[in-house]
Amino acid sequence: MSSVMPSDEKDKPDRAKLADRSELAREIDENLKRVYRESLEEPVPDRFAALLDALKAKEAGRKGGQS
Amino acid sequence: MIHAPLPDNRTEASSSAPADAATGQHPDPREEIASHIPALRAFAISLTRNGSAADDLVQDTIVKAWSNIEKFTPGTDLRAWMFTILRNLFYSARRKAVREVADPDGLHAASLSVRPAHDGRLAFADFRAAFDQLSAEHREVLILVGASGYSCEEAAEMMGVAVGTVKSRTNRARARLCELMGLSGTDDDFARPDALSLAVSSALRSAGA
Repeated sequence: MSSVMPSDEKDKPDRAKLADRSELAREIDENLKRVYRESLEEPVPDRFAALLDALKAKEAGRKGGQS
Repeated sequence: MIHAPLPDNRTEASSSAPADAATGQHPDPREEIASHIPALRAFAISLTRNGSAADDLVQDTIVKAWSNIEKFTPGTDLRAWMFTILRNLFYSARRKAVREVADPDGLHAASLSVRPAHDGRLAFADFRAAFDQLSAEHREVLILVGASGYSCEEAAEMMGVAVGTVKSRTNRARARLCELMGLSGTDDDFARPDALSLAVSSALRSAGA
């Protein structure tokens, strides 16, 4: 319950450590962006153009029927 | 600022985009859907880690967005709105399936044996492998905040959680990533606003977020 957390004593961040962390964070971010970008740059399968066409056609049909 | 889907009192008679008093007629936001498909797929892949499951998820998202477009607030971020639909579909399907779908395409799940030398560069293959081992919740928050450049506030709206939860989850996810890559990194390390948030937010700004 009252366990002492010596975090401030034990690993007081010095400049080098902070620089290390921010460098690591920057690298993580760069890699995350690359993971995302690689998926983003994949060609979009044709099924999605077909899907949007089908949705539009369905809607046009419904509107035509209503009015 | 994005707006999560809200129940809308508009009658269902007008399914086309309503006029905006200030700027005149908005075009039908559905015209914009096609341009968001690459981002939707990237987000879906990061959640499912599986190409065909991701495409099914994107398809369901498009159909749902299309038929509920009257709940979208014109002039707000359609991509964020669709991301919200996508992640809600993903998590509700996962709840139904009880267990998380395993990785049938075998995307890297086992390739963590090589311990990377921390010589200043994270090897991308190791990073990718570690990323794929994270929980979906951790992948989600890292992709939304770290990669696609949404603010913690925007991510919180999409995820339906408090901003503080987004921040702490991001820190835990980063720490877990480091752990999986054999690098030291506690979530305390990633909670230091002086070092980390500055680096991250400036990276996001430079990415045009």
